[in-house]
Amino acid sequence: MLLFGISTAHGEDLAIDLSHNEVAITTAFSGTDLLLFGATDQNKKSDIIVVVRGPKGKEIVRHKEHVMGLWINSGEMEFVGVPDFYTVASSRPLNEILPEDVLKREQIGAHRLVFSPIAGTTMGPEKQAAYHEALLRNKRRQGLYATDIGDVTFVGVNLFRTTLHFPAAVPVGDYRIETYLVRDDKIVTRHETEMRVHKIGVEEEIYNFAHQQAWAYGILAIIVAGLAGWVANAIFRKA
Amino acid sequence: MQIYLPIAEVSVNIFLILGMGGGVGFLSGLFGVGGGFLMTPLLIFIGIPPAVAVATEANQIVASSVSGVLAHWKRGNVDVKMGVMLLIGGVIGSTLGVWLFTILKELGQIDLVIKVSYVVFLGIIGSVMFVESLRTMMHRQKQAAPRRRVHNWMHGLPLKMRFHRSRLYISVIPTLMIGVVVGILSAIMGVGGGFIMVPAMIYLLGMPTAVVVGTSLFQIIFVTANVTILQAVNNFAVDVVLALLLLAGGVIGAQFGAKAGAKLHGEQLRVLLAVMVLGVCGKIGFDLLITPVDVFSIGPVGGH
Repeated sequence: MLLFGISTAHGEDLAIDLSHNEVAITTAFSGTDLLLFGATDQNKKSDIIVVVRGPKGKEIVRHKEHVMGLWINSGEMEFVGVPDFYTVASSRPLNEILPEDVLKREQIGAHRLVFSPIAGTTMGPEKQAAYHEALLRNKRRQGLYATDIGDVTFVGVNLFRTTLHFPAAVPVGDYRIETYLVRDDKIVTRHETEMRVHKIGVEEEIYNFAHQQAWAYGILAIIVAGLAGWVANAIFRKA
Repeated sequence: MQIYLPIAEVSVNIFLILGMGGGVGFLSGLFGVGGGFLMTPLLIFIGIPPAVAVATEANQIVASSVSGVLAHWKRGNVDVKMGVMLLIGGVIGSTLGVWLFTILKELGQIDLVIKVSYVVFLGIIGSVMFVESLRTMMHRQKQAAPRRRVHNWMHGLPLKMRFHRSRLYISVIPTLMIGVVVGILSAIMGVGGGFIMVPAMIYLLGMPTAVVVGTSLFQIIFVTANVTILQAVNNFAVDVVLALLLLAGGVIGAQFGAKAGAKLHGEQLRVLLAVMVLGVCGKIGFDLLITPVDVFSIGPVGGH
């Protein structure tokens, strides 16, 4: 399944193609790689940045404190607009390609992501920053925010490619892949591609069953367990 | 070989899960316990979300209890009337427990409560069992253990009922209370609760040892079934794929465990079990005390 798109924001074309436009989570799923390749229509030396953003959601950050000898969750902060997944690939280090203010504005690089704490927080800016930093750190540890910037490699002057890695724990949902064509400290063209991460086959059926018909699922789980126990007993007796 | 669990949403090694099922099954066959108190912490340890570990283990215990109770049923070692009374308490307790579980999860305190419950209950049970069985081992030559006949404050309570199979005429109030407490623990800790119910039935109610295990298993089937349904409906946390894998390993393990158990003395088994219970208790307690790798943790809002 190939996806093809052309973007002509500044009169300069950027064609992008993905090896697949979906990540299918099957029973044997343990992470996967997608190949992204593209071409520019002019023979000028330029740079490419690819940003993958997962679906946005709410995330709660909890802070443990030492209370009576035990480590207990005692503070929390909720953030909205947190991408479940985030990764970046580029042809050169980001700060050599674009000025910091542009990177910040476009939220390129995990530490430049902006999340807003849910309204009504009474915490001071220093505490908020600590929670914000903790959110990034935990996402990185879970492998959901890339720790390294991936490589975009050029084949000739106007053909490029990169491999995007999705770990086993990749969250399901609609993803956005943004590709930036950069020259002389400026974004020349921006191209956006949609991609979907979803469960298929048995995985999808069990998940949907469990969520849509929770009562039936629970009862069935018990029947299956009861039968399994009965069969086990029958085998025991013969053995 | 990796397998992706649809509800837990993690990828695990299929042989690791089968091996854990087998290992815990062996121990449960050896000691005649459900093994939930070992399996739930192990599942959490390998990265299964705590809510899924607790709910799925409840589902697995349904299977192992059905398998166990059938053998006792044949020998007439199930006091159904007593079981039903415990069950009434158990259904109330487990419903209360799942409700508490859902609230604690929202407050971000469920992990702490699960761990503290483990430390407290395993600590008490393990110590009592250890001391008791060591004492029996020392005095074994001198005297046979006397049949316990309790005469305490419980015999003054109203609502007396006759339990023929257990040869008892006692109030149903302590029976219901034991049911409620075990039901709550079952929902929060992901255990059958046999390790608490069996001593309570012997020492508090004065039931004959022969019918205790069968009756406890009988009651556990229904309480864990209740927990499974409520966890499935309230928390979407039952992973049938994980439950089936644990079960497959558990069945085989229990068979070898029961054979090995026949070769050991009752007291020796109890000392070993006590050491293991205290070991799990110590490990969980230690983790609560040491400084965590990161004092911050994250989680999605709502759902798991």
